[in-house]
Amino acid sequence: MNEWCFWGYMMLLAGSGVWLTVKLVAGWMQQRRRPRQQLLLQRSAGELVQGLLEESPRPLSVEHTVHAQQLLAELVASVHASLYGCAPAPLTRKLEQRGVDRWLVRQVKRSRGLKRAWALKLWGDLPPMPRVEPACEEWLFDPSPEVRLSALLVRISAYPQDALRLVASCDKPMTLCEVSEVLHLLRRRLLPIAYQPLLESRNRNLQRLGLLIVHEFSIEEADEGLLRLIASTEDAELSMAALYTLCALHRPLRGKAIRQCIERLTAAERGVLMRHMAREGYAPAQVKRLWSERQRVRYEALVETYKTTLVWS
Amino acid sequence: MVLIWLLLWLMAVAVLYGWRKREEARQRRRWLDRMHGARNGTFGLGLSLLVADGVDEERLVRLLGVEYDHLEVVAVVDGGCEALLIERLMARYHLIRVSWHPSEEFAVRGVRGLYRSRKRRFRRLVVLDCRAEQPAARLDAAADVASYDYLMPLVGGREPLKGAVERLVTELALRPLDSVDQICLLPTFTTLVWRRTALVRVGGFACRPLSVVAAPHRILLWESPLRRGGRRKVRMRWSVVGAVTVLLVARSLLVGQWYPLIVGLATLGWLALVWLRLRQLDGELQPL
Repeated sequence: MNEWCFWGYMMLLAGSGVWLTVKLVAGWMQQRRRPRQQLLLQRSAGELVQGLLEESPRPLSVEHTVHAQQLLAELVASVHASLYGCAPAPLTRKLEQRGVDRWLVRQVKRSRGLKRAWALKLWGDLPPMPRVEPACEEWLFDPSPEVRLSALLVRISAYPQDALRLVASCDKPMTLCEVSEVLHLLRRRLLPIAYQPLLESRNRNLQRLGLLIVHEFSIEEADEGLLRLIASTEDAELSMAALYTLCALHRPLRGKAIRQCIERLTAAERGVLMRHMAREGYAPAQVKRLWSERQRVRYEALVETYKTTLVWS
Repeated sequence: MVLIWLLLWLMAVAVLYGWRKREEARQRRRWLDRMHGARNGTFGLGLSLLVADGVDEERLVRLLGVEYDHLEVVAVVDGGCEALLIERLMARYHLIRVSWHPSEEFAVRGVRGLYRSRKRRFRRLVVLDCRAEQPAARLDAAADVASYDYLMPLVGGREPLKGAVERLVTELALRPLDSVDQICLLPTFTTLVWRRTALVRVGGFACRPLSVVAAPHRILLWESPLRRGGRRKVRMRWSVVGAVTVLLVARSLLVGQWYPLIVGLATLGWLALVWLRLRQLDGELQPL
């Protein structure tokens, strides 16, 4: 028994020790390369932008280093995120010349879990690469939520005209992060996004996307749509999000719908809303009809903590 | 003898599990760093950094340099001892003195004054002149005046690492709104972020948090987003494990048993490898 325990334990230590040593050595080598890679990336960013401006592709410093394909993909993703209105074809050509598209597909297929999610997210941040088909159907149903989100973003990145259909077809309510990533992609592709049909839609995810568009672009004309969502009692979370969006736009908080929405809140939620309104700069007179007498006193005290008292002597 | 083998196996499995989780946390960090919502300020989720001790200008400059729009730094200073510091901060950040009214949410005493920077939103600085002696009381005073819903207490000189605030906010945004009350760090069980309503419910920072927040409303992280956070406790744990192993090795040397000697030396060497790898992973994180 002693011997079995001994040998079993030693095998465990030996196996995990070998794996730890491999990771340590790989990490140490990566640490040594990192300063030089950072320098090459900075230089290559300038070279890439210069090549785009002059419309003449030039070789990049980062193409002749270890992990060139990964570095090139990250470089192009960061440059692509900073460009607006430029045709992505030169960047796509650069990626295809170095085989980055095929490298990415291999990375996605070989890895699992968060590594796969990272590779997919990097793919989604790159300009469209027509040589590889973003056949993400299997990954759209992956058990990992991170992989599912990244696969959705790859799909939208390749086919932005299908974005709303894909968002509407998600069976679970999308979180704030997921909707904001979709919005970021849609902004990158410069698709015109009409917020009204989204707010009026019956699909919760499309409504969330519409709210985020209104908030992001400070669309003050969206009052009616927001009030309609606030008045709706089907989804309390959506109503609250609409109310907070209205506050963020500094729109007047009047009307029966808003009062009824606030009445449905718990005391803690009302406290949070009060604090939010005070931070957004709503004067007590503007919101006095929303609160009871006691709450009005509390709100005034809260607003006082944002104002200085001038004493005239 | 069976008990010792059982303990050794459990120790090895626990350490391997912790190491595995740490590697996964690194992968998650790389994935979160590719998210754009926090950098674009799209979330609208605000975070208040509560600095209860060790307030100085350099530290505030670093904290206010965090590139997240909806961030606030609430610094608690004892004006009785550090009046000059408050004057310097007022001059540097053009703070205005505002009225302070105690809320009913926290038991706060000893507040002499409240100062806010003139920026309406975006990385605001709040300085609270408070006489409280206990760190928990100072944190409660800071939480009382914080504007945002999520509070991150920074005690013992801790500061968030580069990109840590954005990652924490992204973690919050990846869950349904208002479903997260607490973000905790494993294995030290340090609370990193509190939701204000949950903190009020448990009675402030003097509470014992893990006994009161339900698991579905908690996010557990395996990688610390803070610099100089809980290292002393982790070092103590490693020292205890190492000391026990050294004692076993010494004992077996004295009595001439070779099984425990080999096991002890192999365990020490293996623990050293794990420690080196964890240090290497920590080295990837940059300070502000």
